Amino acid sequence: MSAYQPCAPATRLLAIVLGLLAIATFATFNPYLVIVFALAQVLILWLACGFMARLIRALCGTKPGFRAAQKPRHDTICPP
Amino acid sequence: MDLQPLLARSIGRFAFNWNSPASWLTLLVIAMAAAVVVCLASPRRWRLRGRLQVGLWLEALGLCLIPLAMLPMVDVAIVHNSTSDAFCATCHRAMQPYFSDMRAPGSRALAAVHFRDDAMLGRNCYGCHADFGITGLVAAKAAGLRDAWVNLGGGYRFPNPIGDRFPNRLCLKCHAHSARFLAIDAHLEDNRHIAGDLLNDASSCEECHGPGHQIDGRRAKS
Repeated sequence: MSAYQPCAPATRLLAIVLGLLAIATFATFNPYLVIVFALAQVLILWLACGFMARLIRALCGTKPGFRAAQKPRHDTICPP
Repeated sequence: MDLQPLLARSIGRFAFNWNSPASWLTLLVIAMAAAVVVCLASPRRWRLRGRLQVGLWLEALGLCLIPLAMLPMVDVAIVHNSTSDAFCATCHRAMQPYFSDMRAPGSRALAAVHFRDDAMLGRNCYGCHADFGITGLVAAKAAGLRDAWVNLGGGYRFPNPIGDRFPNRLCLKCHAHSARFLAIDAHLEDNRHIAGDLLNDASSCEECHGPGHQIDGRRAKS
């Protein structure tokens, strides 16, 4: 778990915007907001799946995108 | 202090009904969306204090757990609320004459009669114009999307003409089982089954039972 890195600011911002969009949609039930939010559900699903993938990779200790990837590469320390 | 009008005003056009599960579901969705915003707006502070675990859990809640729990509720709330008369009337500016006629106390159009009877609990447009089952729902929503696009572009004629002839099956989906309908001989064959003319649209319900809609007191025409 120590390999987990917080999500990118852009991802967080996108999720906050989607949250605000949900509040606006369900508070007003404007038909156009409803249509936009119905389509935005794909983005929400993508964000949720992306987070789960990051978490699983962090738990399994695989490196893409996490702290393990930031460690010095072996070949830069000990060139062949 | 009566909280209901205050609550209804504070959340705009969404008409809150204490007795409606759909209203509570909508409120729950709004609360969950607010929780997403709160969870994702706060982790940076936690992270700066070196409390990565707290930040991780807030991200897990805001990016994954709450949204995944919210999505099914969102769809139920959208489908439920998008079948209300108010929702149809919001989008269909061109349909306002029909909507006004439906709500007029003196109107004799079928839409107004059904509205006064409150047979469909605020879902008169959907109740009459949507076909059976899930396919009817999908077709109605697809037609609504098409209408929303036309409405957005302003490319409609005024007053909006009625399209295809109204199929009898949309009346029969409710009336075919009613005792009042089955008590009238004109609706039935000799073997007491529903008349073939009605089932195959050879004669229309509107021919005997008046116009579905009126504009300025006259039958609305295509």
